[in-house]
Amino acid sequence: MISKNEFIGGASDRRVLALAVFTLVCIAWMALQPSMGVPAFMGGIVVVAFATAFWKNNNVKIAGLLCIVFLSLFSAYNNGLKFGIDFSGGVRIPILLESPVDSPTMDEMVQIIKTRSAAFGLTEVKVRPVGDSEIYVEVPQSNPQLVGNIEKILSSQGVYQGIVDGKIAVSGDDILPGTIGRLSTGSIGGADWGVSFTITTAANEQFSKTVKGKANSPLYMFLDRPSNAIVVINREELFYNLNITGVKMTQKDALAIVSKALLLDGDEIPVYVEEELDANNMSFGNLTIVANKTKAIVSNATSLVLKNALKEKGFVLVEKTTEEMQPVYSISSFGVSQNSLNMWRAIGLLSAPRLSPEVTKGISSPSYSITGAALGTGNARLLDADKNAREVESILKGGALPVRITLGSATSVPAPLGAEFLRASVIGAAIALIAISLMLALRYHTLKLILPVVLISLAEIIVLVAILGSFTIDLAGMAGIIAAIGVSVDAQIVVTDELLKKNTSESAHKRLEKAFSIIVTNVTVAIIAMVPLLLFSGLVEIIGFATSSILGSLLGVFISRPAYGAIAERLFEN
Amino acid sequence: MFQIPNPYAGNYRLLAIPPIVLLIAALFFIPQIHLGVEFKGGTLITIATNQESVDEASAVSALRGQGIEVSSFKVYKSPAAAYKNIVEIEVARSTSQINADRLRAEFFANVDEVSKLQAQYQADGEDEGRYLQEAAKLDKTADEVFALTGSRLRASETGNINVLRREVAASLAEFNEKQKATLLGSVSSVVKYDEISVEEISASLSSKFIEKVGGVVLISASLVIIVVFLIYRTLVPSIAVLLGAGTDILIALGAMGLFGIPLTLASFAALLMLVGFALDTSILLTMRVIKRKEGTAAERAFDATKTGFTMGLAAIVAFSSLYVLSYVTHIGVYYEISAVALCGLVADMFATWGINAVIVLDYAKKKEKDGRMQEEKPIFTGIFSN
Repeated sequence: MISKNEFIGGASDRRVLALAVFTLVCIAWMALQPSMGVPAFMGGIVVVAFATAFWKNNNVKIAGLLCIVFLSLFSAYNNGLKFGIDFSGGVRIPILLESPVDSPTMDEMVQIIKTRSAAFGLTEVKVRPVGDSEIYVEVPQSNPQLVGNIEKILSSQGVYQGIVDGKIAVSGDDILPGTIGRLSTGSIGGADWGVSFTITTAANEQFSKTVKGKANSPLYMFLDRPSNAIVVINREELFYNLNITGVKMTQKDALAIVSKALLLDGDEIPVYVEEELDANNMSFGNLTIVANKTKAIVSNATSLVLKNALKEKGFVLVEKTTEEMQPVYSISSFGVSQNSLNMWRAIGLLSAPRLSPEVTKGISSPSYSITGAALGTGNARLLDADKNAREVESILKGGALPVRITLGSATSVPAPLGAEFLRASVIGAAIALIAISLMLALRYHTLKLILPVVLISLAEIIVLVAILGSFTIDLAGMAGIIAAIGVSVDAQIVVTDELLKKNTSESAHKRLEKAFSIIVTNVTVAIIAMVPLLLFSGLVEIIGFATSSILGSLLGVFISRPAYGAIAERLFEN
Repeated sequence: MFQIPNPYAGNYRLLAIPPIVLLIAALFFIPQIHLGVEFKGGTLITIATNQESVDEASAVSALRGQGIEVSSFKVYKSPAAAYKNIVEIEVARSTSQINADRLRAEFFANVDEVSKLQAQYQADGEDEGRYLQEAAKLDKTADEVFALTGSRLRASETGNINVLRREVAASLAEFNEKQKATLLGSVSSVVKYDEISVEEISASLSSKFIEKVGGVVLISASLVIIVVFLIYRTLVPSIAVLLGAGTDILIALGAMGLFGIPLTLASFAALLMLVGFALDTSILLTMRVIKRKEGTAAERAFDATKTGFTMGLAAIVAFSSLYVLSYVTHIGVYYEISAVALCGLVADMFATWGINAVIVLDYAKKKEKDGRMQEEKPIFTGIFSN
């Protein structure tokens, strides 16, 4: 067997040392920067795998396997293992998109779903894209009511209102849904982006009348503008964006700009400054507060005393984040009176393009376009333009998702059942490994061969679990891991049988090469049969199985088989 | 070790008989495969209950009495101590649900188009005929939706395409919820539940699944065929390998029909894995017999068989563990994957070592006679070899 000296000689090989140092660096990186844990782990594995394949040395092969096992164990300890709701309990709703989308659109969809879920108080909802045509919504509690809520959230549409000078100029129902679209760069003049849409003839008359003579006025575009509400803002929030851009302004002027955006005949939203409200003696002028109906939009930074006082007055509190509470101003170079508000998420004001003079002259064609400038230069500018156009498109569509969706089947797993599933599965995997070891012991009658086979299979399972667990191990993934125990041992059997052959004069090395040629062909074909399921199907239900099968094969070819070959070659030389 | 006589030494062609018999039997059973709920649509209700016992026969007849089309009803002991029993009920989609699915698809496929036509007509008065015709068709679909869902609305009353769209979506959603509530009401009158999960597969979803699975089969099959031909670059071994794998899959499908293993997404994944496995053993055999020189072709085939059987057994052991696990936990995914894999692995022993071996041996003997054996030339081994 391997002597002590040989072991020391092997370990002091510079390449082995390099791998060991690299592994330690990765481990340190994972430990020091937990947010980079998974990328560090993946990167480490890839580098070690390629180094092992490149150096083609027996010591390196075994060292490579050991390094990867250490990395995996540390990752499992440091980054943790994530399990799907099948094992942790909860509800999952797959959302199928009508057509595949590009990644910015996918991000947008995920963002919209997250925002809407949060609006309904579902904060623990996990929304994750799967491939390019599916999204998973997962909630870590099982409750049919909740599923109903999510379905409502996803199918509900926001209400769009375009307000000019306190009058509704256009509303979402007036816009013909199929006509909302991006303008090509050729048709938007000097602007960076443009979105066009058509409204109904009847609505167009109303629009033309409302905006007549109001050239350059902002068209305040709201999505779900709250009605019957007041806003309480603190000074820091009010001035936040002005300070950032270095604009000096009095509170009175700032409030005047804000108030202009809040005008609407019959449903104005009054705004109050928190510092000026006396919790003990609040006065809201002639505002009639309808108990349980009149909303007070406050920041989550608002003091508890004031919040309680508002509640006592009969307001329903609607809390927004500090960021949502900060108005975004548009400072005009044509004088103070032209200043306006561009965005204020707290009240659903999402954009405020200015009316171009042509549309304010009376009845015009019912097709309109909104154009605008983007920030940055070069590619960044293009990306920003794209983002702005998407946003406006989405607002006009009532915040609807950019692509039509079908809700998939909701699956729910009670938590105790999930925990039991996990326990049983781990035992099942252990039994599979033991049973295969016994079978190999019967077949080959020699412990010196079986030990490396079993140890390497075990190593492969550890690595596989650590990699899959960095993302999510679901039922299909777990099935794939157990299957991998059986399939991964196959290649070791091919190697062993080749080496055990008696009627040949070839060296062990030569025979190993032959065995590898079979194994590599096998793995190539097996991966090729599975890859379309992984890449082109978007069938999340079974992608875990494909992933673990393919990963198992790759790990085998790059790491565990070379290591086993190196060990077996040694064993047979003696 | 076991002293088994080499079956390839004598009249090896007889070895093809068992797989061919199995293949013919499989062709008979394949049409009997039943589709899982993912592919045929329907509702799968899983209930965790603390009820001591659930009487299957009376429960099913009670549900059917309430007009619910129960396609399967299973009761088993809960693997977790928190519950006593787990009940799985599969319900076929009702005619009205199928209609709702169809109308939804129809309406939403046309609504944007109609609004575009409206805009165009408004702008220049063109295409009036087509616009009115399409709009009328859309209204008709919407009215069918309203009629089906019991809404008193009429499309002509909405006057605005956005309102119409919203109303249609709302009444379909309401209809769905009502149907589900009725179903759950009926179920709870039969079994008292502590936890319930309802998995609903609409017609559009199941057809999407079928479409995707079909796509994967097509791409996988073409890729595998191309790669196999690339590896061998000769006709006979390539065909032998593909034939072996094809036979394996067909026998596995036949076994699914015979043993009542449903075709679901999970069993489909298992079939894909089987393709890989079947090819593995076929490639092992073909490489050893055709591209090697030691001993006779029959001896090499026998050697390959020994390795192949050991491989198959290892995989069978792993999937048996999964199969036993599926019995303990009643996890459908485990059952479908392991059952299909086990059938396929057994079938592979017949297919590879019967059909594939016979063709390859014939080919090798002919080549040996011609004295034109090719040297082994690895293709993908460049960076991996020692």
